[in-house]
Amino acid sequence: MYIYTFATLVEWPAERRTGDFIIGVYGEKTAVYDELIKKYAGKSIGSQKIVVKNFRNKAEVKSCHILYVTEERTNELTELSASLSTENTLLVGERSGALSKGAIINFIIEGNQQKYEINKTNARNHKLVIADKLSDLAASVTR
Amino acid sequence: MRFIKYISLIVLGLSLNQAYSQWTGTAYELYKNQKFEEAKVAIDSAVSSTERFDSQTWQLRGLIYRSISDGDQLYYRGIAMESFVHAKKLDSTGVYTAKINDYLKSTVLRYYNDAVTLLTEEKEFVKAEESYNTYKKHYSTLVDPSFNFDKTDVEFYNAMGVEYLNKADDFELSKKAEFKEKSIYYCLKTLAIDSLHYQANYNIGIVYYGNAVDYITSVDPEITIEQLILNQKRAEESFLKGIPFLKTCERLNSEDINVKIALMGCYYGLNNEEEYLIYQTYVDLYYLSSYLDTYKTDPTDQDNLKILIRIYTVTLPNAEEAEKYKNELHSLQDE
Repeated sequence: MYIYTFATLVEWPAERRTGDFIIGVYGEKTAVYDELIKKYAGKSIGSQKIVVKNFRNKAEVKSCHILYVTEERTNELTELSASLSTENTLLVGERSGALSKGAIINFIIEGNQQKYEINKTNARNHKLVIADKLSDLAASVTR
Repeated sequence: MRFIKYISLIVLGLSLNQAYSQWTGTAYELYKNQKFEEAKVAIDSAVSSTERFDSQTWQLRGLIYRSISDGDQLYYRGIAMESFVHAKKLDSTGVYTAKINDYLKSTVLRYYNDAVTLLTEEKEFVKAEESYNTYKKHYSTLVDPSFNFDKTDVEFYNAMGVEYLNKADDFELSKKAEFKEKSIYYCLKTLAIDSLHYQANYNIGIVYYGNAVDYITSVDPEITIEQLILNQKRAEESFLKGIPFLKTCERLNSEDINVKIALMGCYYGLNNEEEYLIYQTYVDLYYLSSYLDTYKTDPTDQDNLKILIRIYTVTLPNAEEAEKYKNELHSLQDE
């Protein structure tokens, strides 16, 4: 459900605020994809209908508003970040060190809880604006 | 739960050869013919006459009042007990003591039986507990002042916990919480007497585990981030509360798969990868053959294929098997 809240607290450029709102999951571990489909298929972000896609190959990865990169695909983040640089894609990782590979938000475990860290430089590179609330509630923010 | 079965053996110790006084004799005949209302009138006349000095008259009064099935039975039961107590006072030689004690005991046990019926059949929880407390009060004052209620307390409080938990299942989330809290309250009362009571430990563990899962899964998908973080915190607290009770169950019975599943869920929810994997591996080994059977009967079941891929990738690594099921899944997804 964090993915949905990210969608509500990140501002995309005006040209990306029309059409479907695409959330992609890249990787074989489809639990996240299954959960997103179950909870958000058919719902909307503003006036944009949410569409959830699962990509198993890098070549399939197309323009997404949010791309969730599963743990085993973390090493491909650098390449994905470069190839999606003009797509204004919010890259979300789930492994330590993902921010340094180009992720904008990365899930981490602190204590017993799942938290997230943010890299604002990466966000700016993708022309995305992170709301202050999202930054304030993050475990850490790289500016 | 072990019910105390009371079989009403009406062994009226009044000797048939004995010459009864007028009203008591009439009342006895009516009682024998199960004409309890008329017997009541006759026996009340008896206790208003000189027959009131006879212990047997009061014993019969107790039996008659206890047998009336119409009207306020609790009221009549009270009169029955007063009558037995009075009969005991009049029994100066003690010849009827054992018999009167039996009458009292079997009458007091009716409060316990009422409690069980109110709880398990009528689901009247408050009235059930009132009846149970009445049983205890009368038992210790009229039957056996030194009686130890620990065993019956454990049985009754555990049953209350079970019934509240069952009731919680019938309701939506908002109302569920109230019944789950009640269930925990009674399970804890059980554990205060018997800390190793398996079912009470299990139920508390399951309630906390279920609450934690609800915090995560049963919320509005369009939740705010603040609420999401708060729910995560509450879930963490609930998982942590449940673990000690589930661990106690595990120590008492190391093979209960439901306990293993609940512990697996707790550690998964707490992001404790190490402990989670221990329990997930145990559970996977337990169910693997059934997953393989499912695959044999329905190789197109995608959820089952995903489970097999996870098992052969994570808990019981086998690259060849994982690849096999992965290819099967992909070919189904590509169709």
